[in-house]
Amino acid sequence: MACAMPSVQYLAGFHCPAGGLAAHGAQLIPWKGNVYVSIGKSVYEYSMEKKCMLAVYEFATEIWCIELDTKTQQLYILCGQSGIYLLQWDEKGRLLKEPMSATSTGGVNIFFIGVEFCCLLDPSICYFTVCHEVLVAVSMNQNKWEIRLFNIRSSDHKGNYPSAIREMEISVKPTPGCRDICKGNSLPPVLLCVSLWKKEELAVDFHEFTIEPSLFTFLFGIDLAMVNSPVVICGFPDGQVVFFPLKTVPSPKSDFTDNQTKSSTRLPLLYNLEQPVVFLGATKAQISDGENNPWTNSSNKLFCDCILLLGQGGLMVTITAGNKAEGGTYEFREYHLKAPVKSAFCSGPNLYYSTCSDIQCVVIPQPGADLQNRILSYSSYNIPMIRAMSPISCCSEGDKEFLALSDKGKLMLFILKQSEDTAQRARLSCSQAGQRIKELLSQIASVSERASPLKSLIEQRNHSLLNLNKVVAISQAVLTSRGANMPVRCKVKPLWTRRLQQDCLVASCILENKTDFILESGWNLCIHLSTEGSGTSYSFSVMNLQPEENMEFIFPLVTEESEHLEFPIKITFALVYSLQELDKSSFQDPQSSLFSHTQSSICLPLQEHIIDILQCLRLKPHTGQPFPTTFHCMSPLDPVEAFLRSSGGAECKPGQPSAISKAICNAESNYAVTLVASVRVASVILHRALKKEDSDTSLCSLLFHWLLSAELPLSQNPVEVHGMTPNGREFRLRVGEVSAYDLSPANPIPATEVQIISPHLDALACLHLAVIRRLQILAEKCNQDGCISPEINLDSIQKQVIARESLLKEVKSLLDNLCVRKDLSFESSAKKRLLCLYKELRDPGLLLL
Amino acid sequence: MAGDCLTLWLEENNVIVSQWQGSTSCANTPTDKQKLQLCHADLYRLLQKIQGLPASPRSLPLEMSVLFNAVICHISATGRIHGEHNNHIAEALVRVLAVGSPGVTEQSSAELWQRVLRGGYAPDMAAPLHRVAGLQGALWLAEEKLQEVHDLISSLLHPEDPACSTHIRAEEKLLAVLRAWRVPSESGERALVVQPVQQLRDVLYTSAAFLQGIRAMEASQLPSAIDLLREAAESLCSSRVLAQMYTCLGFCFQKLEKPQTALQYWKQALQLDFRCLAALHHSAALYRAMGNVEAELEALSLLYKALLSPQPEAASSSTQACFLIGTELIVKAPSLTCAVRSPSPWKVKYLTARSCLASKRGEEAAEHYLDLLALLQDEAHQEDLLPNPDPAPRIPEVFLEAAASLVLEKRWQDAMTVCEEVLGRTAELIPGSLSVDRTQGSPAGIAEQLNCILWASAAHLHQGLSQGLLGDHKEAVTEYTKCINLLVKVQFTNTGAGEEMETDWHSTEEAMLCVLKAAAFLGRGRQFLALGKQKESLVNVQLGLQVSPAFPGAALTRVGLLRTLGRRTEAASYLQRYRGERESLAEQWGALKRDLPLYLDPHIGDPFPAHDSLTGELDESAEEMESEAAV
Repeated sequence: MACAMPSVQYLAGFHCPAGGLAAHGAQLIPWKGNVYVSIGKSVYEYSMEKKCMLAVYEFATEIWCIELDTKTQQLYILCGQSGIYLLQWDEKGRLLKEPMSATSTGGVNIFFIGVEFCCLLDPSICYFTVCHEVLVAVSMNQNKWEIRLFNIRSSDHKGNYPSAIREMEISVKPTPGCRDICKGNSLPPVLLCVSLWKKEELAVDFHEFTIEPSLFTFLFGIDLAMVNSPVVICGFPDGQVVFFPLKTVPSPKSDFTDNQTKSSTRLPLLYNLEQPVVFLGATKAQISDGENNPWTNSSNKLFCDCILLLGQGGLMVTITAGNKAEGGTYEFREYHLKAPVKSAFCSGPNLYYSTCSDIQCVVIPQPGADLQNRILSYSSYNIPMIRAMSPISCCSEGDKEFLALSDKGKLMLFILKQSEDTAQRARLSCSQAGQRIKELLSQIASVSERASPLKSLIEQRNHSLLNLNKVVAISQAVLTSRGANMPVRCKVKPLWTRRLQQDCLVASCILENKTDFILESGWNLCIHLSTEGSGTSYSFSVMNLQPEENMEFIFPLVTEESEHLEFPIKITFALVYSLQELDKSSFQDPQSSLFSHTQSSICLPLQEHIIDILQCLRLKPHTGQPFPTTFHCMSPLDPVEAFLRSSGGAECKPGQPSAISKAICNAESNYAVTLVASVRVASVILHRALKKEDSDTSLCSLLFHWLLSAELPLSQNPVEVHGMTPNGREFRLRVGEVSAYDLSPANPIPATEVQIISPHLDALACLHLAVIRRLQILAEKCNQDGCISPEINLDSIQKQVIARESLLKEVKSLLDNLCVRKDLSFESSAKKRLLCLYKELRDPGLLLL
Repeated sequence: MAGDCLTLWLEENNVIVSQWQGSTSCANTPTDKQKLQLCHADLYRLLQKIQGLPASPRSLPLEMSVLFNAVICHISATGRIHGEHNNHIAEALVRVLAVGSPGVTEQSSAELWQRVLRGGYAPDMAAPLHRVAGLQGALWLAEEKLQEVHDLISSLLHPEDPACSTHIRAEEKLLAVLRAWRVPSESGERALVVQPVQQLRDVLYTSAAFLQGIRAMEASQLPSAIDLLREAAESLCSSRVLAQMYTCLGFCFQKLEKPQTALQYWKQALQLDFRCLAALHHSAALYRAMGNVEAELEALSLLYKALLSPQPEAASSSTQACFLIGTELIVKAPSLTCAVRSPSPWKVKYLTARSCLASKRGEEAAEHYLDLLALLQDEAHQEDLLPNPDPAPRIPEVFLEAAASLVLEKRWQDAMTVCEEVLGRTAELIPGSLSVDRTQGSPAGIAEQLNCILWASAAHLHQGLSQGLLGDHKEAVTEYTKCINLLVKVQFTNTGAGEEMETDWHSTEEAMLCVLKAAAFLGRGRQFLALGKQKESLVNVQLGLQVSPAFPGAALTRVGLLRTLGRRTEAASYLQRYRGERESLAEQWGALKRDLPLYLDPHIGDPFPAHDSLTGELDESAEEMESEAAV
């Protein structure tokens, strides 16, 4: 169950090596208002009163373990692969020996500690502890743990210790649960020094554990108890927990034989946890009636009546004295905690331990309690990633303080209110429990109420972000590649359809998606039609165009303003995405939309196409036949003709065309003048452009096909074509080969001539312009490729140009006069003259070279 | 370019080695240890550089020399041989083999050596290979792999060497091989080495002989052990090691029951190295065995003084020969047995005190025991490096003996204080009742509880005696009662499961229990007598006699009491019976007494007026009674 959060103060953040703290990494030792923190290769001294860093000590290799000798205030540091270093200070806090170098930044002294501070040079030591003037060093040697004891007092003048005063060995027993311990020091062993409690000593020292006499005697034997020998308990990563006394006396548990040749004593095994040992501790678990608050009796030195062994897998073993009536027995009890346990400390009857995700507190069961419950109830504080913890000597009124170091190197001070603890132990009555449950449930409900819309909002946002991502990807794909590899392409083709019993010209656009993305809803294809006068635009929404798929859109080519089609029509395509799609909530509430209505779309221009009249012509299938009735276009050509057509049919019998209509239909033959316009192209150009390797087809038919590719089937090879423009004007088109003399009379240039014959001037002009434009394209292309131009007589060109210029002047003057003078007669004569000029210019016509 | 690299490396090696050689000549002071450490670090770095390139026949000799130097420096700096040294050598061998025949699979060191040496090697490789072989031999000797060393060295020999003959005793093969090993001369070498190979060979020889001698001694093959140790003593070694060898020799002779020779050797050992205190210790033990209490006490006091005085480090360095690997590094303490272990001071003190008590020197005994108790409580213990396999006393027994000596010295109060201590500790361990199975071994817990009961009751006995002699008879009665109550808790049973077994597991304890009970009853009886309650006294004496009929003085006491109470006929008949059984009872008691602990002496001595006078008196009265009866 969760309990009230302790108050947390962040004290300092230490520089943490990359990748977090290593397994040995961190330790903290509080001492008299200061904290020594070891992280990586440095030891930091931090003052809790002044809340600032006092000093930093840097070492050459990584620090595995630090220990403080509380009597002399010396700090021992184990540097991996190097040895044990000793830092001593005098009364004023200065180091007794001069370090290699020292700098000072920002009021903090940084000392670099070198080999001269080393008091025990041995790269194999992996853990140590200092107690009762003995240094206990544990090293790993092949398959055995070696424990060596050194006498601190007998250091020689250089500060080094001579050889060990005692050596012991214990072999590693790997269990299936533990990993390969021999390789690398993944977890160091743990050492705890306990001694016998004596009533006479009153000094309260937090780092010394004294055990009550009966438990001490039961566990370690009467000999050690009578000699007052401190005992060191070792826990190893393979789960073995052994102990040995600091004073060598025989104990009933060791076996000495006469023939013992090995020096190593077999250390008596206290317990085998079968999981790496993480913590060894001793505490007073039993609270007798007289002391309801163990913290106020701080003046009496409390003895511990319970030894704790804590394994990494969550196994906690308590060793307590057994029933006195049975004599010297002691009990082992196993409990299960939440794994994996990283660090722990105990204060009073509580054990605080940190796992990867939490700090939890369990109450150690009283020694005499029954054994029913193996899993202890715990209270958790919701503080994750704590690497090391250490209690500070308890202060007034029983507020417990402890320091903790997080995985990222932050030092924090936790204050647990003592009242919380007692509340945990108070039992709730039924009604209170019920009330509490109700409160909790309503809290849960309100929290979930608040949580669910937030959740949906988050989902929405995620969705929008996804879409935005797609949009941006598509935009990038489209914008970065232009030209032939456009990922999104449009093809346009004019079509004749029948709408409301009338033929009309529409354009069919096929949108191809060659990207890897789906064009989902929100994308619109905007089509803008523009002619010389006006423009319209259409917009189609693209719904789910999968990659490698096409979509067809059909839109009319006739704009609304003018009923006549004016060619050429320029069509531009663009893909537009409205960003409002991203914000779905704006559909419900337009006010709160993230995007303003106006500037909220992404526009990707695609291609431009030009449709000219040659693509929209309707041809007679066979010459000589009248035009199919369907070809009659939408708008009447001439009011008179329209009147005649409509009126003439009333008297006829149904099924028979009337004479008038026939006459009108054959109107073209009644017109006096058929206008002709022609364009000539040098054959060379056509050769270059249109001729292919295998061609027996003539240039003329090739040209026909090229000009009228939309309507003319390939099989036919006509010489002349009859057709009707979209506006309903008839025309004839003829292609033939000629020789052009006008530019070089001596050498005629072989050319192909296109003749446009039509009774209607507007159709003629339109077609003429369209053909010229098409052929110009060919000629330009040919010029770019470098055509050999035929020999031209410059004189003849000059003559032609002069002639044409005079004509041009005449045209201009006539036009000006027309505008100025509103004389009808002049008008008609002017018009006739213009028409003549027109005809002259158009026949024989331009020659393209 | 390889030539240039080679020269560079060679120069670097020589610079490092000459730096080391130029500084100091001995390797025992800490600064020198640090220098050695630095030297090792430099050499190791150089080795890594050389080993970074693939092996070539031209660079291999230098590589081997550098490896040799580096490993020796490391061993000398840290003072012990590490397992990784074997790995270094194995790696170098693999490289040697890789030059000749690539594709070497993982093999053990021994196999690698065989391949390298049998496969032939260039002449300029001879000296380095021999050197490294010597080093490997040293490493293997440290691990006591004698056979491997023998094989290795024999493959180093030329075929015409004399050692290859087969008619040598097995133990001497290794030594013969070592003797015959001709080391190629190093005069032509350009690379300096930190220890010449001849020295190394001699060290190996000494170590091999010493090691084999120790093993033979442990296996009780004493004649060959003596030969080997003598051989070792004659070859190159430091005085400290020589002292150890002499100690071992003395030990062998002691086992061969030649005490004088043994004593002589030990004296020689002490003269060589006065820190070799095991010799003193053994001498003291020998004196005790010979019954020479004075000499023993003298030796023990010398030993104690020597142990307590601070050991001067500087003195050792002057007697140390200056090589980096000496015999003591190879034949490390782990392989030395009880022969060369020196005991801890408190044990010496204990031996002194005990022999004083045993020889009834009360004052000295009391003094020593009190010193011992203070020593035990002292925080600063000088520990011994190796545990002493001599059966060490239990601490409560030490306390009880101290109390006994104090009683002997008539320091009753002090005796009672000491007993209080024992009682305080044992109180928690004593159960309500204890049932001990005679026919089966009991688990350690029950044995310990039994011990606790016996100790506690002995303590009560002491206290009762002291109180009685102090004049507080009522207290004395209480104490004796407590003792009896404790003893009554124990029941010996026969479950009958192991009837075919002849040994009784707890016969000593049972006997002691009876004696204690008897002593308690008798003591209480005595107190009652002093209080004037003669009837109760008689009852107690009778109970005591019931429990242990052979208790000295009990029967006569009973007779005396009967007479005092006026039951003369009973007294007379009992006395007659007693006279008949006197010898057999005395025999019984003699057999019993041997197993009794020392601290029970005050109680099984003669609490009553002199035995003889009483006997004389009783004899007279017996004659009287007989004459009366005849009348």
